[in-house]
Amino acid sequence: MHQLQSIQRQFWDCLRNRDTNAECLPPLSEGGTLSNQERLEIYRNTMRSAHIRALAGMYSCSEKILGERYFRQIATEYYHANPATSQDLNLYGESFPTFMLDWVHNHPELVDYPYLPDLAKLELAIEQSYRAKDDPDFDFDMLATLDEGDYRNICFTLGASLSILESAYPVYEIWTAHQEQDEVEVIGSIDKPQYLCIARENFKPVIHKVDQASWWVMEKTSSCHTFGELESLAQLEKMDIPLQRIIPELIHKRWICGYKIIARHTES
Amino acid sequence: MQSGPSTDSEKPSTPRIGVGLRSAHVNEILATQPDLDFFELLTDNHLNESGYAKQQAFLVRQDYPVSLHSVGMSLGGTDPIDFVYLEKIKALAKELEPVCISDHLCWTSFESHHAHDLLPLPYTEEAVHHVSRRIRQVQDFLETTLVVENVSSYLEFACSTLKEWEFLAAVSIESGCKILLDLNNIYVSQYNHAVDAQEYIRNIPLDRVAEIHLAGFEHKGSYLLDAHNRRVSAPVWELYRGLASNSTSIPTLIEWDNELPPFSVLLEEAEQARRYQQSAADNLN
Repeated sequence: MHQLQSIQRQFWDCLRNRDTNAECLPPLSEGGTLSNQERLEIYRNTMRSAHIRALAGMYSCSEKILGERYFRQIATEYYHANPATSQDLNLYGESFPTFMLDWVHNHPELVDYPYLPDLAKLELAIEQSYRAKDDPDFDFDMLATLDEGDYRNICFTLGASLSILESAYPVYEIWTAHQEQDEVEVIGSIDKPQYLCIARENFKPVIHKVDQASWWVMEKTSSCHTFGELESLAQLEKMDIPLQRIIPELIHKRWICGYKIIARHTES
Repeated sequence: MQSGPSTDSEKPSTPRIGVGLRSAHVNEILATQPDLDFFELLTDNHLNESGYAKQQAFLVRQDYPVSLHSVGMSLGGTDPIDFVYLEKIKALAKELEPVCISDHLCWTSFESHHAHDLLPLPYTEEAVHHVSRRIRQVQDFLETTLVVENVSSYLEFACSTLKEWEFLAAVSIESGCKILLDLNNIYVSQYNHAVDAQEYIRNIPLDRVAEIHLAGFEHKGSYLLDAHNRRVSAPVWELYRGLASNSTSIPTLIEWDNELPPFSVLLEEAEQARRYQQSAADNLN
């Protein structure tokens, strides 16, 4: 395997390093009309294009706003910094929103587009929602049999397709506007954060605007805080959180899809 | 589970023709029940998914046999075999009961990073043994005979001591896998670096070929790109006609992955393949 591994290492390094020419390749046979540089560029282009296509598919709204050429430039930089770690190309690009945050910060031409990282987060959440596992049926009957004391120790489970997002920008309106029309009307800024929940309904991800209290409950629940802890945290953070309303609503919407009982031990 | 779309004892009296299943076509397929014998699923699009795509795959499976075609096994790679990935394929296969499971004679990852491209192997004895060993491990794990496809290439390594067809045949014999013979890939390689397509096909043991792929390339001027975004070209049809006249009916799949046309176009391509197969069968009789 020694020679094979050596060839593959050399070839791989050559493919991934855009600053090198065909001299980095293992020795090639003569034959055909292409130069070694052209052969190398075919593989480099094919590999790069597959990744950029995947990113453009996942972040199509961002691509529309940035334009195909500029998006491709950003995607190319992302590709070079982030080799794929999964066989599933549909999963490629999970860290792109973080990359966009850094990119927007370092590119003054995007000063009027501060929302782009949050928009990318929304697009990622939509994609992940589409591909999430199916949820099991909620065992309501079992929930009804629990002792009152056990309720405080319930940690609810959010649906696998569910994501929440908080943004200082009207990303919901921006995303929606670019789904429906080529000419986009001006969307004004907002004076308080936007809270969104993305969940799959009838196989399709749907974006919901939610109130801050519901978002807060889902955010804490995703960190596996028990019902009792939610009550305590709400008091601690001086938040008005009507749990008795919100929890049944989330169950009714199937955004909560299960629960487990967690006994927290407290030191005496 | 069958070891391939056909075996010596199960050769169909009529040729089996299939097309690649793409989500854009599923509703039409379910509604119109086209005259096709099987569909090929891109395995990697179905391993982590649930919901709509999974439902579509199972609905099609209710009406048609399916095959599973992956690109991520990296059979020629030097990373350890990814048994987590194979376990997902095995689970999917248990649910869908495909007629075969296939992947490619290439490598696709290095040090846990994935190329998402089919990278070329040197055609050496060392590589034959290495790849065959890996294929045997994969077959043992999946509990089936794998079908392994030749890839298009844009270069050959100077250290190669075998012709590509010799390499493919040797791997098939040593590992016990079957061959998925992609005629478009052979033609693309012929154009790109002077591979003799006719000699290639002549030297493939046809009794080891479990399936044929037909697809379209993109002409880039100085080279052909295996883009799977066009109709099957006339020269590739010619290769297929020649192969069909020398063999009993080998299941054939029309592959179209990019810039998808209406489903009717894929059906036209499938019908063309069926005509060539039928004509060859009639001549043999």
